[in-house]
This record gives sequence, structure tokens and C-alpha cells, in this order.
Amino acid sequence: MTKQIATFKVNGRTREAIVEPHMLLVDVLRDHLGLTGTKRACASGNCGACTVLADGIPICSCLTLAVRAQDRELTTVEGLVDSQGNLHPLQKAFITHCASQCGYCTAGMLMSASALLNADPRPTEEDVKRSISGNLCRCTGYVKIVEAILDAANEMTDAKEIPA
Amino acid sequence: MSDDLSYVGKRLIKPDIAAKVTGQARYTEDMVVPGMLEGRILSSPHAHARIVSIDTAEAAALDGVIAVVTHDDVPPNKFTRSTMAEALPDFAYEGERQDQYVLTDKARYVGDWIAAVAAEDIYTAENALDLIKVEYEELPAVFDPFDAMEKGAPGVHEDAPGNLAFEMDHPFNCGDVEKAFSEADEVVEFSGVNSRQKHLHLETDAAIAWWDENDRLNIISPSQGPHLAQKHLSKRIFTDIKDGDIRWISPAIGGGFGARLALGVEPIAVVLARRAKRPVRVTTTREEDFFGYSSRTDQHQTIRMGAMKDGTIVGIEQQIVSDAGAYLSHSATTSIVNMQKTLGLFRCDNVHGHIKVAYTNTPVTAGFRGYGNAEGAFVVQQTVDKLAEKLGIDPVEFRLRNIRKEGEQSFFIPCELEHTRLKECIEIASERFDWKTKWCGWGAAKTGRHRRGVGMSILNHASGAGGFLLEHSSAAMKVMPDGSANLIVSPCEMGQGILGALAQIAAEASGLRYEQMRVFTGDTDVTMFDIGSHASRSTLVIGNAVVAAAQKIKAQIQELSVPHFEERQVRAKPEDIEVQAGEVFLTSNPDMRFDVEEVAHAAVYNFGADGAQINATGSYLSTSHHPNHQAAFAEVEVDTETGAVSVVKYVVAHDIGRAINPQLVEGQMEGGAIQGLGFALTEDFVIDPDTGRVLSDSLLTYRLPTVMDVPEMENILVEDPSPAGPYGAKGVGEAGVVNPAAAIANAVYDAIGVRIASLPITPEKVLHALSSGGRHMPEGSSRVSGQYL
Amino acid sequence: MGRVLQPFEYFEPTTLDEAQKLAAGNGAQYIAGGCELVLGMRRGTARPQRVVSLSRIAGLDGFSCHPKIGLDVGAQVLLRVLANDIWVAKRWAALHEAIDQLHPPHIANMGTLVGNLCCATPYYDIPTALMALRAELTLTGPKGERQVAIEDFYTGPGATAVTAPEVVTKLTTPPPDANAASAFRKIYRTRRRHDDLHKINAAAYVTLDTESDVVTDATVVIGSWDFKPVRIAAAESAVTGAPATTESYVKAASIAVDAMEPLTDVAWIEDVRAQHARVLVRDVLEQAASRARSKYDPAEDLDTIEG
Repeated sequence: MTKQIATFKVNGRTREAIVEPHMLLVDVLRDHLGLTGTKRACASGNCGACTVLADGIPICSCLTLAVRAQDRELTTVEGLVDSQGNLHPLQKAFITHCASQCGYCTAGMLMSASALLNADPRPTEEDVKRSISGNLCRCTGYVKIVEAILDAANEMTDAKEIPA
Repeated sequence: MSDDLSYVGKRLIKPDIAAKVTGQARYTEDMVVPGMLEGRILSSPHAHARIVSIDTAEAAALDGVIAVVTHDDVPPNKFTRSTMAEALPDFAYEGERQDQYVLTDKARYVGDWIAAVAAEDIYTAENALDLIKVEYEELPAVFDPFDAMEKGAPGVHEDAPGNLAFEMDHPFNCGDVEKAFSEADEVVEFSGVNSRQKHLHLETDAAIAWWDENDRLNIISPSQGPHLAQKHLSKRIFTDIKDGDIRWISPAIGGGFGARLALGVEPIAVVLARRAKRPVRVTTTREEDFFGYSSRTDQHQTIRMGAMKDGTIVGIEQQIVSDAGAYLSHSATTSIVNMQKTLGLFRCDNVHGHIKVAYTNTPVTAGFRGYGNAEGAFVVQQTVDKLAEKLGIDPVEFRLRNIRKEGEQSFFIPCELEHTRLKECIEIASERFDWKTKWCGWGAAKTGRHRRGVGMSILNHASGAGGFLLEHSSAAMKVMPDGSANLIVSPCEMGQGILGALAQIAAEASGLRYEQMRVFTGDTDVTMFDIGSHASRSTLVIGNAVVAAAQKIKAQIQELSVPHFEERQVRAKPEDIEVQAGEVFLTSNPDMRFDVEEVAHAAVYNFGADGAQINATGSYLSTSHHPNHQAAFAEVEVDTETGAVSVVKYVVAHDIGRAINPQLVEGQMEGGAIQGLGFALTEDFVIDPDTGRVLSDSLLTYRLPTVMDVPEMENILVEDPSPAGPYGAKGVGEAGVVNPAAAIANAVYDAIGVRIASLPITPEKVLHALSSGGRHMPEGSSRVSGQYL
Repeated sequence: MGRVLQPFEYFEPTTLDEAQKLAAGNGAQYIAGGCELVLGMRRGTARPQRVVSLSRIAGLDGFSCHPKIGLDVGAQVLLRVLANDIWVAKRWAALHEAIDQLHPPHIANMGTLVGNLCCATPYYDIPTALMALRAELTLTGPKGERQVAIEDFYTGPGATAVTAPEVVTKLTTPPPDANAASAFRKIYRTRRRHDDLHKINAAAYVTLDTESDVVTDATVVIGSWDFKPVRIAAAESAVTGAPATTESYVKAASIAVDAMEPLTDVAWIEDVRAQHARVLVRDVLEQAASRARSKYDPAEDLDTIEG
């Protein structure tokens, strides 16, 4: 398998790109598919900035060969908004809590947190912390990020609850 | 605070955040310029080596390679990475030695730049690097600043005998310290050194350079001060280019913390773009960041301090030996600032400070958030505690007795301290921390495997370096016909939220709406000269310039509103009219009001009359440091079996003057505290004492605090408007990172009775201190920077 | 050490035979989860000319775990499968703890258990835990299968008993004894010499005679010290037959540390490492014994076998 037209399912759409086996998913997303919201910060799987969801599970796109991601449903930060373009509750909460400073870790944080909330709509603070323990942030001190995720979780479960 | 303000003091959403949470914000690496090549740099594998020959033929012949450059292809001009030279008066210049070439003539550290390649794609560029053949002749190397200054040590630079890069006495030395010490009741001495904390901005260094259709040089890079960088690049390196011929764009920045005050890969991008006659993007890796040219400067300090029985400090002496690494970037200036803050914190008539900065064959050190203050606090705050213990005085009380009061001289001697709430910070924070209960007195014996301890630290820090740096800023504003406004300012948004703070100030002072304020920054073609975002200066210095411009806008609106009131059958003079939150109204009759859009629109679309868009500029020159202050308290738990230290609680009070946006201020304090926690405990930059190679070259081996490391924290804003700041605001950007290591070190001493003299306070240092009583350096331990025990 | 990887050939065979034919030459490497290989290729420590994926080969994704039967993990099973398994958490606690503490947790979503072992990276945690649990690997080559105990699996720095083109197809461990339990712990350190490592870890497996509270069987392993985790026979025999008390564990820990070769020639670094190892060994023994004492769980009496 050398140079090929690879097919990716990203954010609910099918996209094609000319890809070679040695290309990393993070580079293909950013450079070939124009999805530059996903960041590359350590390229070693240690910082979480490049986190994307593959079949709903957070992975490091910097340690993934792009060709191997073809048969998976990928979600990047650009795919967090709904089809009407409304922000995800996590994005809204990050804004109101000012949980993003330089913003370089933000996409990864959001993806890790969204995987958590999909799996567990009522996480404890400890669950939230664990879910983003692989995402490094150099600016915020994490306080407002944890608050924002907990807030978004409440928002999402409140919205689902049927009024008495 | 309860003034009648529309925006200042409120938790408003900062303008740049929406783009950051949707992934739409554009950072340097997200940009693509048509025809852009990818540039990569070859660096030295040796700490010290003569370059015998470089063969680039094979690399150049590779399909897709457009340019290969070496030392012979770069301008024959020496420069320093620090751009601060251009913000200093000529006489203060020596601290900014111009000592390196864009590509080096000799390898002076593992990671020194040898050659660079531009190719059609990054795969080809990296392949080409592998094909460059360099023959090195290894030379003896030196990795420690004290060894470097020994006679017979290998010379890093031919023109720096004894490897001495810089030496100076503290400009504000006064009195006679020796006499003071001989008369003092108690004198203590403490020596310590900080580690080379990495900035670890998540965005690795990158730059794009190209000549556009008008033959102007365009540069995109995450610079914290593009105007200074523009000047520095043209004055020092590319002397055939005038600063006006450069357009420097500094887009969204993925973290700065001081690293981006120095030039990174921009000069290489320019060299490659010129050679290739194409746009070139130069990128780096995290490993190269670790090997490279930005970390805190390790400053080896010995501080002596004397006091009388009543607790009055009578003399302070500080000797600093700093390690510049292979080239002098910010290490001299951060050492000067360390001295200024450390020796200036307490009221004292006998002060002596001295700095030496040495070259070694190690990565280049630089300036990091706090800029010398965090380095100094770790040592001086332990010295202060040592002295308080000897005198048998509570450390809170001891500090309260010696801090400077309003009206006394500031730490920056020529100025009077016009505003301080440090006393209140200490009192409020100690109260919330419950110091009185938690502190068991000097020498309280603690037993068991897990021992708790408490400690404190205080600081003063600048809000801009007026009188020291070129501290003037300008702002421009124009009001659009719909009543919205464009604010053109020159800070760099690295995440600190400065665009939000300035927009709040602009809206408040002009009377326009915050929600309709657009902030433009980061483009030297558009913004006016400014020395960038650092020294906790932007809110105070640029904020005052914004106030000046916005007040003129308001005056114009008031003036232009007169006929609009007349149309409503109301006679009003401009001074009777108020503009607030986008509405114009009569002070005497607030019900008589209309939207500012009416005036803004009429100003432009007034056919037949002499219209002009509402616009104004404002400038501000800061002449003092306008100190902000902070007091911090830490409680730690030490596992005496493993040596692990964990922080249980951390309480801080900050003398902010007034918080323009409390949420943004908290963000700075929380972020600073956790950065400081890493500096204190886990962030260990290690250089192999045998080879000079950086061993902590990944985030596995250089450990940043994660969310799991965040202790219970309380960040208190002590608000009382200062006379100098816009709406009374002072700086807060850097202070947060200064106190943690010092307070934690004092708390560790309280827990185990042994002082740790080097950062970070790792388990191995604690264990060793426990077993040796902290007295001797063990056999075989390294003196290489940051590895002292 | 670059930003990107240099080109290689890539194959996704669908049978083991095909995979082994493709991997027969020099310079070929299998890829499972790929975390370590991709990183190594970027950092320049791995330069395979050919990469052969195991992902499309049927039959490598088997996973079963039952306290009466044992653990059986195929080559493609992701770490997250084990992380989420209740029996692994209850009865293979050392393994669970090692996986649970992976940093970042994303690695569990990408990496496989078998791949983690095959990397032979000296500072990895999971091999330490699995050695304490007496794991065994199944290596499948062109001539058939063979079993290799995990102690014999690591043959040198970065080297394993796998001879190309063999594939490690699965890992198994015996069921823990009814009165046994395990524990794993690690301490991060600072790497201070080029031959140093940035952490140290330990794991233990302890069987008790619950009547007399005496240790009847034990495995003691220290990892991130040598190029591979090391079982310390002297410590195991010291603690076996001894009362299940802290004193016994402290003694075993001392014996374990004495048996370790220094990693560097710098005395103080070794002193600290020894102290950390001593604490870790004592603590994992204590923790494992405590779990063994309190482990009884009626759910284990279920006859049904999962999967």
C-alpha cells in the first residue's frame, strides 16, 4: 500500500485525500482536510492537544497513521457544533467560564470531555478530572476547565429531564 | 466594587474565546501562504564542536529541495535572540550582547543550528536534513557556570574571556551591608538555585516569511512583541531591510510566558525565503523546543540578610551567578530584574547586589513569566524565614514589619511607592488560610510517615517597566456608522485575555457598547509602536492609552450629539450630555436618550456638510513600575518514605488595584499558581553531565502539572484602585507564578525541618535532605545547571 | 528526530500466514495499536522499511477473563477492554492498576496489551504487573505455536524472544488462587543520567493461608530498573511461609533491593532508587495481602463463563 486516495468519515461527512502510509492522522486532518482546529503540540501522545474521537473514543491523532483511521467515524472540534451550527453545551460552558486562554489545548480538552459526557451524563468532579488528565493545559490551571465541564454536564442532563 | 460602571469590573466574555472553542482561531501553523515551502533546521548533536566541513550537495540535489543554507549563507551580523535590546536605552545595552549568527559558525550546544532546508513538502525537507553531511571536530565542553568561570575552562565564545557574558553591580546599591551585618543582632545566609523551567507553550515555534508583490517582507510568527522584533530583525540581522519594509503579523498565540519575547525561527524563515524566492514556513518539534532556546534562566544565588531583635531588617546582600547557556538572550536582564525585586521588596537602607552571567555549552536560557522574580523569591523567601526563625518571630509578623509602605521609596529606587495593599493581602490571605491555627511555631516537631507543613511568600512585581524600558503605547479607535467601534491596539493575545480587558476599558471610557467593540492587534502595518505584551504591562500601559483615545471618542460623540438633542427640541451643551453603554442621554434628564448609532451614522453620512468619521488616537507614557503585590500561603504534605511532596491547600491574595474583568484576573492567578506548582515540584530540566544533552526532552520526562495535581486553591482579589492604572487597575499577568515555589519550600521546611536549596523539590532531593540533614552535596552529584541537590 | 515519519511500505494482510510472509524480510515490523512504533518512527529510533498491520487478521481479538479460568487476551485487544473489565479489576488488580494509571489515558484507547509487552520499553508498567501475575505469551510462527513465560520473553534492551516473522498472538495468565490477590505501584523520578529511567515500579502477587494468615505463595517484581521487569526470587522465598505482617514485607523488600544491580554508577541516585524500591515492594506486598484477605466475593461462585 503506497500513495492512495483514502476515504475518511469526519464529522459526519465522507472526505477524500491523497495519503501515504507514513502520514499521521493529525497532519492529514490539518493539512489535507483543512481541519486545523486539531492541534499538534508534542506529537508524542503525552499532551492530548491532538485528541480526536474515533468511533466516539478519544485517541491521539499524532500517534495514529492516517490510513488506519479510514474505517472509523472521526469527530474533531469542528464537528462539535450541531447541524444547525449551534455550539455544543461544552463549548458554551467553556466560553462562559473562560476555560480557554491561549486555546491550544482547548480542542483536545473538549474532545476528551465530550467523550466523557457521551458515556456518562452525570459525572462527578473526579470523573471529569480523570477524563482530562491526559490533556495538558499550560495557561488556565485547569480550575475553570473543570467548572465548565461540570456545568455543561448539568446543562445537558437538565435539558433531557422531563418536567414534572 | 460598586462604582457606577457599565463594563469595568464585570465578568464579560472575552472577544477571542469563541474562535478558540470552535477550532476557528488561526495560529501560525494553521496559516498557508500560496506557494509555501516547508523549512526545517539541522541542529548540532555535539555540545561543543568545530565545524570542519558541511556537504550539502546530496541534500540540494534531492527532488523537491529548493534551498539549503549554512553559516556561509546567512548575514555576517551577530544578534541576540532577546528583542529587548531595542526597548532599552543604549547605555543599558551590555546586558544584551549580540553574540550569535542565524546559523552558527561553531556548535556551542547540543541543538545549535547548523543548516536549514526548504523543500516542497515537509517529508522531503526532513529527508534532505538527513543527507547533509557535517564533519565535526569535538571540543572540550563546559556545562556548569562556576566551572565555566574557572581558569582554563573551555571557551564558549572567543571574545568572552573566562566565559563571562555579563557582570554588574546592582544600580541601587546603597549603605554599607558589611557594617550593617556586623551591627545586626542576627545574620543568616542561604544559597539556592532554580531550575530551567520550560515555558512549554503548547504551540511549538514556527514562522512563515515571504516577500510580497510590493517587495515587502511579510512575517507571521507567534511574537509577543512584533514591533520590537521588526526593529531587532532589521537593525541587527538583515541590515539591508528597513523596519518599515517588514510587515510582522502575530496571530493567535498558543502560549507565550515570555518565550516569544525572543526571536525564534523567524530569521531562518527569512533566510530561506530570500534564497528560495518563495514563501517558507519553518516549523519545529517539541524535542527541538526542549533542546533549544527558551527556558527560565538558572540563577545561583546566595543571599545574606541581617536584622535587629525587634525584627527590623538592616541589611540584604544578593550574589547571583546565572547560566546564559551558549548565547546571551534574556539571562542578564532577568538577573537584573531578580535583584531589583529581591532587594527591593523590604524597606532596608543597606543593600548590595552583584550579578555574573556565564556562558556554558548548554541550551540558551531566557526570560520566563516573573522574569527573575520567581527565581529570586525561592531563595529570598527562604532566607527571610530563616531569619525570622532565628529571631523567633512569626513569619507573617516578620514580613509585615518590613514591607514598604506608601510614600516610601519603591523597589525601583527613583520612584515613590504610590500604591500598595500588600499588608492587606498578607492579612486577608493568612486569615483565609487559617495561618494562626495551622502554623505550630518554629521548630514544632512533626512525626510519622506523612508530615504536614505550612509556609508563605510575598512579592512585589512591576506593572510595566516605566523608566527602564521604552514604556509608551498608543491606541486608535474609530466608530462605525452602526455605532460599533474598532479598537486598534498592540498587545499580543497569548491567552491572557488582554483584548477583552482593553475592550472593556474602551467601552467604558467611550460610552460605546462592549458587545460592539472589535479589537484589532498583531499586525505592525496597522497597530502603532509598542514593546509588546510582557512585564505585566498591557492592562496598565496600553489600557491608559485606550482610555486616552476612548475619552476623545466620547468627547466627539458629546459634541456631535448637540444637534440631535436640538432635533428633539432640547438645548444641551456637550458637558450636559452623557454617553454610556451605547446610549446618549442628558445628565439632567436621563429619559431623554437615543442610541449612539444615530450620531455615529450621521457623522459619516451627512451629505452636504463636512462629515468625518468619529475617530481618535491616544497615547500613554509610563514613568514608573506601578507595583502590584501578592501574598501566598501553602500547606503541604511530605511523604517521608518516598520524599514526595503534595500541596494540600494554596491561598493567594493579589493587590490588583481594580480588576477590569475579575474572571480574567482569576484565570491569570490560577494559571500562574499551577505553573508555579510545576516549577516547585515536578518540572525538572535535566542536562546530561557527560554529554550536555537534554535528558528531559519529552513530556514524559519533563512533567507538567496535570489536572490531578491541582490543590484546593483560593484566589482573592484585593481591590482598591491605584492612582496610575486605567480605572485603578494594576498588572497581574506574572505574579501568580512567583510565590508557589517559595511558599511550598517554606512549607516543606515546616514539615520536615530541612531546607531544600534547589528547584524542583523532587522526591530524591527530599529523601536526600532527610537522610543528610540537608548539609552536604553527595558524592558524584552533578553541578550541571538545575541538578544541584 | 523529525516532525513527520519517513516513508515505508504498509500492508494489511488478512491471514497470519500472509502476515508472516510479508514480515519475513529484514526491516519489517508488525503494528498493532502502534503507539510506540509510530512515536519511534517519528523520533528516529525505529526505521522499518515495511510495516505489517495485524488489524485485519481474524481471530486475534479474543478476550476472556474469569476468576476460575484465567485471563486470555488476543493480540488485537485494546487496553481499554481490560481497563473496563470488572474481573480484571477484582482479581487481576495489579494489571488493572497499571492500565488505570497510564498517562495519558488515551493510550488505553489506542494501544493493545500484547503490543505494550512487545515494545520491550524498560519504563513500561504493564509488563511489571503481568510478570507478577505469571503471564505467558503465545508466539505463532510459520512452524506453529510456542509458549514463552513472561520472564523469558525479554532477552535484552529492546529485544524479545520473538524471532521474525513470529507473531505474539495472545497472552494468558492462570486464574489467581482463591486466596490470592495482587497490587501494582509506581513512583515518578527524575532522569539524571543517560542510563537512568524516569520512574520505578513494582508489583506483587500474594497467596495467603487465611486460617493462619501466613503467606503461602508470592511473586515480587521490580520494574523500570533494568531493561526489563525483574522477579526477585530471594524476596519471594523470604516472604513465602512468613506471617502476613508488615515486618515480613519490610524484610522481603530489603532482600529485593539488595538483589538489584545498580543502574548508574552514581551512589546517591542509586540510594534514592533503592529507597523507592524498598517502599514500593513493601507496599505492594502489603496491599496484595490485604486484598487477598478481603477478596471473597460471592459473585465469583457463578458457574457461567463469560464470552
